[in-house]
Amino acid sequence: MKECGEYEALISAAVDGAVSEAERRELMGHLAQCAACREKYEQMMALHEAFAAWEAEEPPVDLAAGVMEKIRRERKRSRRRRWQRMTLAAACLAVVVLGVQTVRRLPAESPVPDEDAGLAAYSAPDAVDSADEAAPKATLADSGDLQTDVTYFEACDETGSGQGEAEQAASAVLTSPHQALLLWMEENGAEAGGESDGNRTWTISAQQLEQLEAYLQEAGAGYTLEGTPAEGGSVRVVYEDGAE
Amino acid sequence: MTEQELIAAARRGSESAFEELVRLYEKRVYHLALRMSGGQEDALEIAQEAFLSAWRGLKFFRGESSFSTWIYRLTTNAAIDYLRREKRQGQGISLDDEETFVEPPDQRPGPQGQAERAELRRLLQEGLLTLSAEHRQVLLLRELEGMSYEEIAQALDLDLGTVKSRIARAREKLRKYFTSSGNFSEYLPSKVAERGAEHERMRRI
Ligand SMILES: [Zn+2]
Repeated sequence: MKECGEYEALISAAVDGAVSEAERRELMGHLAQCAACREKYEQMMALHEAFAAWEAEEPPVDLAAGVMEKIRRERKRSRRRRWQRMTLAAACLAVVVLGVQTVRRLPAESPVPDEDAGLAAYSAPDAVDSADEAAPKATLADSGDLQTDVTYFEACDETGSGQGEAEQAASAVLTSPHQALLLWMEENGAEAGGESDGNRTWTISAQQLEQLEAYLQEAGAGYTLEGTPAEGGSVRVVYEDGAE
Repeated sequence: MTEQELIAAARRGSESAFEELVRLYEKRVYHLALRMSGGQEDALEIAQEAFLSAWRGLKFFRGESSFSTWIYRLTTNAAIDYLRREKRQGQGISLDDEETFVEPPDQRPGPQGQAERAELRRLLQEGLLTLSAEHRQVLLLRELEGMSYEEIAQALDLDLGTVKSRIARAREKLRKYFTSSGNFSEYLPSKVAERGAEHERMRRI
């Protein structure tokens, strides 16, 4: 004969209807002659029924909204990090998108380091700390057919957090300026129009332009598109300093 | 969209699909989190954490189990982590700290109804919190979400035998909590009487 304690798991399983026919018969045999186990069975069943009758309460706040807000913030942060890593590569280069083409310009006379100096900041981590001062935001002069103020694109300031970040950026890099935009064009099947005078051009559809805009917004790196892409018209990418 | 389609879309990164999934499950998840923790604020944190884990883990969700058992597992695990972090695993908990226990127990037998049901639930919650978090987890997955022993075993990566005995232990502790506080006959009397009748019937078979 089993001890009463040995029936505990069987009693509990019987409450859940998870016993075989043989087990059930065995249990019934014991319950018929054991008041203590009978009471245990009845009380476990009573608890089971009390749980079953316990309705779920509405959450006191909009749980889903809170969750989605966290997710969006988290996503934005990770996109921005990715964007920053990529844009680091393009340190100290000016970028415009015209109709849509990207044009790389260097400042004629500004306190800004030239491209080589900017990239040097990468390979020389000890120079990183000074990148903030070395690469201030600047506005380039109008350059005739571009007809835009090209806001100086600055990524050097993101290296302020130290060597590790700079190395990470360097490993993510860098065969051409403004890798993030180049990658985007490639990933989104923009038709490359070749390169001349250091200007790269792409032809993209209106829909792609919309997507580019969304991407730049989500990247949250301080970029906006300006201008209307009328035929032959221009759209420029503007980098605003002081974005988050 | 069906739940399957929502899951597939959410896995591809659709926030709106995921939001719909959250809305489908938020009530149950919150309920489970509330019973695991005993406090509203805690439950909200736990539920939010569970859904965030689901979002991050969606790419690993291959659908061997149903989405519901997966999210319930995430919820109870989030609760255990949370309570551990907060150094409140249930055992030895100071009941005075919990908002749920502010009201002193009414020892007089009350009329059947709202007040009595509320009191029963208060006692159940109090009893639940005397269990270890692991016992509470298996018991609630079984009792609140109706998961089978097999589903629980798979979700928690436990032996079937372990699940079975853990549920039995949890029930026995809870039962003792009720009997020792003299509350069984008071708050579950009619149920027990009904059970008695059913037992008579079972015995005749
Ligand atoms: Zn017995």
